[in-house]
Amino acid sequence: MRPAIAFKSTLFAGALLLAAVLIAGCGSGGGSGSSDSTTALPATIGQGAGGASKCGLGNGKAASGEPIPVGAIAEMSGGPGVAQGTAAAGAYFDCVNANGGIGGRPIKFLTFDSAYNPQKAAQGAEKLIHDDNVVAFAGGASFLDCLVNGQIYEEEDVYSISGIAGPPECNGNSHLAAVDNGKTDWIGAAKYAIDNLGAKKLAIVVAKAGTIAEAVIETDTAYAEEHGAEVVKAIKIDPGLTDATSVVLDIAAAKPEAVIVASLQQDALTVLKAAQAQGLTESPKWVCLALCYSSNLPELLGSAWDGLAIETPFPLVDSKGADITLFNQVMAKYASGEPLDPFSQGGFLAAQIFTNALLGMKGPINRQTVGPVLAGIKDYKTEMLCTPWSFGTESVTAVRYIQLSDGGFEEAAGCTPVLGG
Amino acid sequence: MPDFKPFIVSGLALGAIYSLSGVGIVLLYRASGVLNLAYGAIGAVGAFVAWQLMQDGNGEGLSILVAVAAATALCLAYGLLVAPLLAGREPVVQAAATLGYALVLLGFCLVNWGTEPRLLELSTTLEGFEVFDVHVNYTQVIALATGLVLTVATSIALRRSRVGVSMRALANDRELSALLGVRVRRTEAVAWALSGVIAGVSGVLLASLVRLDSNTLTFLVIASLAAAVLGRLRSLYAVFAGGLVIGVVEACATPVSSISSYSGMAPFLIAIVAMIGFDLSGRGVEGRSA
Repeated sequence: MRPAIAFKSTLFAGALLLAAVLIAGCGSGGGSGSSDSTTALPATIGQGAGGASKCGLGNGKAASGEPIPVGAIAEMSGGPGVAQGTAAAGAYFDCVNANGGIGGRPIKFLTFDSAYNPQKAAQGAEKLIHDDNVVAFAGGASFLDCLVNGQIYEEEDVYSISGIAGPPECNGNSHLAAVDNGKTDWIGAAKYAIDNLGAKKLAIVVAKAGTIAEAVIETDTAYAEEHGAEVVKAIKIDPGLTDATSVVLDIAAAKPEAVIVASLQQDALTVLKAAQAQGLTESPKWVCLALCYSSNLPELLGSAWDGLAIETPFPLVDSKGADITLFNQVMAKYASGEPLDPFSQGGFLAAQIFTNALLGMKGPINRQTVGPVLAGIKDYKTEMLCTPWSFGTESVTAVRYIQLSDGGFEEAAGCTPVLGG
Repeated sequence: MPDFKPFIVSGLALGAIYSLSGVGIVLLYRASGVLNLAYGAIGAVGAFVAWQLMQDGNGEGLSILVAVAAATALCLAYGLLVAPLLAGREPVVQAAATLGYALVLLGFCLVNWGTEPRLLELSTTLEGFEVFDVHVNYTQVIALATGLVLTVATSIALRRSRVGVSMRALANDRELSALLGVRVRRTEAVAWALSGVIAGVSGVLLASLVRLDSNTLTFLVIASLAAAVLGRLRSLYAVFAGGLVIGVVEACATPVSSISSYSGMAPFLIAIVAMIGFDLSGRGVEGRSA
């Protein structure tokens, strides 16, 4: 074969293979794969059909008035994969808009991708506040937002209800609220290890993320000491951990009776699989924070991990109840393909609380009128949380526990008071 | 004093990953003069293709084969369509361009497969044996053996085969080589294709050993560069050994509580120390001849 022909053949073969790659990739259908809801969808979603709660007014009429701009910042690209929270909030607002909106006015949900970049998170807040004139923020899914923008929200007098808990520095900010509470989650996991698993020696594997790692270790160490246990090992891991084997070997050397895993899904999965490879699934026992939940976790981990407990403030995705039924219906119709997990539950709940607060308003809806209404939310009752919710960063005080079982999840323990209980 | 024996074993397994990637990077650098920072991203695409095919019910062997072919195609496409346009530019420009390609591929992975946790479990990962109470799986052994075989085979090929000599000539001076009769584009195509094959194999192995995550696989190349630096971007044997050393140091830092939190910095610290050492000894980081 002559060189020119050889070269052309190589190029042609390369082009064919490249096309094959693109086809294979495009055929993946987004790849989420785990969120296909089996919920039968009634034709009247959001109107209380099928035993579900309503979306806003629930009247089935599309809102057509002047839009109400509402903002949200989320880590949609880069960083932890929690943006489904904001997708769920958007889905709920879509449902509200299809059911009368806020007195006939649709919610215009404006999202901004922080890309897990503090500068971009700050730019997003400035844009949404000054350019888009949002009346408030709701359903955000960003670990950076409150840390970077908390002061801006106070200075600009803009209020926010986030779908996920922020770092400890955010606590006490008068303009921020979340439908989850980090401290409750951290202690909730330690409480389960001590009370339910009978562990006296605990180990902690926690992802380095700002000051959260230190806060988790300090909080759980103090809680363990107060309850007759001790933390014998605490390891901070880098996000994107590559050497999980050494981490689990180090844990095993400390001979804990239970290990608390406080990291996001992929890191937790990496640690758990490394533990499995080293034969550490039965002893010590393992407890995960809601952070490590993913709907495909039972499938990925397999039956060897049946009994692995996860704390979460929210009910099981397939449990019974008007709010969780609506959550499933809304996600299936408006956010098909997004994972059904505590992050999407959080975003949905934040949007639901926000909407119901606005529906109770009389008079003009703007930043000046919305803020006090949000700040005044007190003892909001929802099946999604164990206790009534009030505006603030530490309102959630109880958790539930679920565990892996037969390729799925089951309830391990019902609502359990953690703070102040 | 912790018992370091299990961590040395664990570190060798980790080091095999750095070695394999480092050898793949240096191979292309020696053959084409391009430091391919898209190496990890190309491997990531290959790994996701393998995962997708296995999810669709295809056999492991076929899936890996197609994955390697896909990585080869991606590498070849860049090598034939983009790299020649930059052939006359400074090495840093050529490297920066591959970083752009890496980001394009990373975006492609994120759009198509998202960030949801996944596992690429090869049958060889599920079986293994015990060394100093550490379970070592056969994929780790394959990674180590592949790195070693590649190192030896590539070193011999670059020195003794006709195409190997052509590659080295091209890397030294592209235009002079062309004047002397080296078939430039064909030789470069072979180099990029070979690099793609190694990237594909590495991607599948790394995804199974570390995690199937586009970000991690894409940027693991940075840690692997540390191994490449230890080999001064020249000696494949030194790159291979350097990767193992980095892995062992990183693993052995884990049980030492005072430095445990910084164990992930081991590749970079070792690379910095090595660069200073090379500089002080007057040899520089980059080797002058193949």
